[in-house]
Amino acid sequence: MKRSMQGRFNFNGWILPAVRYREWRINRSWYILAAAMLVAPWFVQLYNDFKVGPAHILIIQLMGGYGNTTIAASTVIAGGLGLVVFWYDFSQGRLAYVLEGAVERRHVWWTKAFYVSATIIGAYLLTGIAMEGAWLAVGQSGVSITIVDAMAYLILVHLVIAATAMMVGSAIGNVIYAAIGVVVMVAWPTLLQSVIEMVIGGSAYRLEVGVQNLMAALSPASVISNHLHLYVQSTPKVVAFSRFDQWLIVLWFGVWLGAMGWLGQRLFQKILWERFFDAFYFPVLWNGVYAGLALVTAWVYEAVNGSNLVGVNRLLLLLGIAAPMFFVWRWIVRQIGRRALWKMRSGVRS
Amino acid sequence: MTSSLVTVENLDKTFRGQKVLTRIDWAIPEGSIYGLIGSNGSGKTTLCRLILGILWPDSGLVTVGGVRLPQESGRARQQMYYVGADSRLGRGFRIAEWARYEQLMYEQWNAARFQKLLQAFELEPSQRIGELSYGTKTQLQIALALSASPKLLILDEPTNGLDLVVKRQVLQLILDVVSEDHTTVIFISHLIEDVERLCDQVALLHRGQKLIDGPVDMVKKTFTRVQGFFPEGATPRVKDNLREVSPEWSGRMAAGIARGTPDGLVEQFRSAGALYVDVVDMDLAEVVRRLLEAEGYKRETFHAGTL
Amino acid sequence: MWFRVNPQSSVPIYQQVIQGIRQGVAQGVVQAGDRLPSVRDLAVEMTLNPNTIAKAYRELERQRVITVIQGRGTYIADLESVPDRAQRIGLMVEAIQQLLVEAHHMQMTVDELLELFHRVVSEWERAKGRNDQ
Repeated sequence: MKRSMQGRFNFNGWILPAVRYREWRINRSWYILAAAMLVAPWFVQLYNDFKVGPAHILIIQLMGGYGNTTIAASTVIAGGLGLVVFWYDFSQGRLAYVLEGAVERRHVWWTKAFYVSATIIGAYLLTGIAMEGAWLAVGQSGVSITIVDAMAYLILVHLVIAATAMMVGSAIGNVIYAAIGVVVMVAWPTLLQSVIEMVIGGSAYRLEVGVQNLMAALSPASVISNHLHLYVQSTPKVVAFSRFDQWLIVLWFGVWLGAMGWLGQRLFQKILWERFFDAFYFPVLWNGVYAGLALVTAWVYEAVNGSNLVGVNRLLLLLGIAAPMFFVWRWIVRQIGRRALWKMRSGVRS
Repeated sequence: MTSSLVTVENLDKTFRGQKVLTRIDWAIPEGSIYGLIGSNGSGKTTLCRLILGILWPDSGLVTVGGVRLPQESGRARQQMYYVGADSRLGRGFRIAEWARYEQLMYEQWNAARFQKLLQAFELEPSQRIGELSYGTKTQLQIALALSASPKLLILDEPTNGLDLVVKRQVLQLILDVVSEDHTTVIFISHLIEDVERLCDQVALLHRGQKLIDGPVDMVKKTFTRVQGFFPEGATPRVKDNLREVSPEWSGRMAAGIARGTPDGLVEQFRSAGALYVDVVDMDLAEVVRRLLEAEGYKRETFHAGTL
Repeated sequence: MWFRVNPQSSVPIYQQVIQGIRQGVAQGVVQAGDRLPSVRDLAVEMTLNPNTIAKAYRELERQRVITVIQGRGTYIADLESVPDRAQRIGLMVEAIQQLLVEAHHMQMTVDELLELFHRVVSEWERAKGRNDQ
């Protein structure tokens, strides 16, 4: 009792040696694999560019040409890592039963967060060091701030994706749904904006632009894609990127990371133990998903059939279609969710 | 007796709208070996997981060592160890690796004891857990559980899959440690003979309800068999007199079952003219069978001595 | 151990332990001053609940069949004159009555029962004679 009170903000209170030991033993292959997959393309490219001929331009080529194409794949790797550390531990590591021991859920969550962060930070630290080495090798003097900036940005981006994946992965018992959930989480403001756009159409252009900008600023996915070129593709000293914007992005990502960590741990702590054997840890929340899908279906149906109803009548028609669709979607989503292969754990015992 | 290590008050638990446990009150005296019996699906394992604090009750209260379990009860589980059919052992681990995990986990870990138990069970630290047979895994779990020196040891069908010789050895090792540490034990088994042998207290669960609990000798006294020995030639008249008791007759001997105190039935037999009245205790299996039958449990699913 | 326990008997286990030890004393298997195993050892050996053994030992101590010397162990006590002789004769009468009931169930005549009694007594004496040597 005493220690858990004291250890509230103490590193040891969040990560127990036993849990750390087991986490590494269970998931080490995934951590090593993910780190290797993050690092490998950079090293291959570095090697190839060196063969072409040493020039300081090569680093720029490397950063611009390569960072751009790898980031799509590497964010998927980071997201996949965030999901797999839960999925594999439930299915192969029998995590639900491990919780019968003297472990707390927060220990499990933060230990995974620790290793996931270490994997990402380690991978880009290694890449950064290799790039700086190449930078010096081609005759440049001093450390390249561009490379430091780029690596710091890549670390942040990947942490944001991985933390989101961990949050979703620890709250949904089916990997397929969790993967969809991660995409929705990362891009929700953009998605929401698209929905608004669809609904109000071109009738409110001015509002739309404002909303678009706000949503783009809120959506991690938009931030990543909009600012990628500013960090990774920029040639040194050519683009004077606003330091203020830079700090805003860091701040927003920091807030996002904190929110994912807090929310992930809280949700993971709230799951009823018997739910670990289901695809749906929080069945009540899923009603929101069914409702959303039903509304979209109703809207599409109505748009395709082109009814000329307006106002309350149109709303009633939409709801009239949405109500049965709610149950249709509920049935479909649950059927898919029950496929044992993608569940966190197959086989039920109560 | 001594104070209770675990108390359960008015506990309800539902899985997906289905009642699994209904208004359970239970107290486990410190130092007792408590048998928990009941047919499959009667809620034994669920009750134990509620005591461990990994399942949360719909309503009601669980206290361990006088303290109510918090939602994150890992700290309390330093004192409790559960051995069940679905083991937490990592299949890819070697025995030594898993033992290292548990050693790091449990503050009261007894490394010397673990070494001794490994030898007793002829387990090699380098063996992979995934390659062990079911029975060997059970032995490993018991070795780990005893080495963690818990205050409360929950054994959920610990002798399933063990042959008779090994079973006896396992039970002896458990008893040795339990009597050395004064561990409180919850012993779930469908083998009533084992429960009778090992437990001083017993509770019977049926469809999520507790039918009876208490010291084994007291539970055995729930029913008693009363035998009356009547003079030759008197039986037709006596049979008539004792119709409402409806005893079983064999010759001059009538046997009736009394619930609770047998005094009333003894008196009835005496006044009906019995030469000699005898009160015989029943064995636990018989008592359990009668309790379950009173609840409508089908006879054919009940094999002598097992549930 | 020289006695066995049947957990499925209707007789409580601690009483079976008491009977077992008393029988051992009566038959001369153990004698005054002999040391009995500790509660823990006997519990482990017979795979019985230690509390049950402790209860049996407490009862045996009360009946002065054994003496517990703190820190040294449990020993068979010297035979003493039994104070409540009348009461125990009453118990014996009940036991004999039970035998008669049992005999009835087995459709034995009283003569057959007595014959059996004699046979058991002489076997008992022979066994005791062996143990004394």
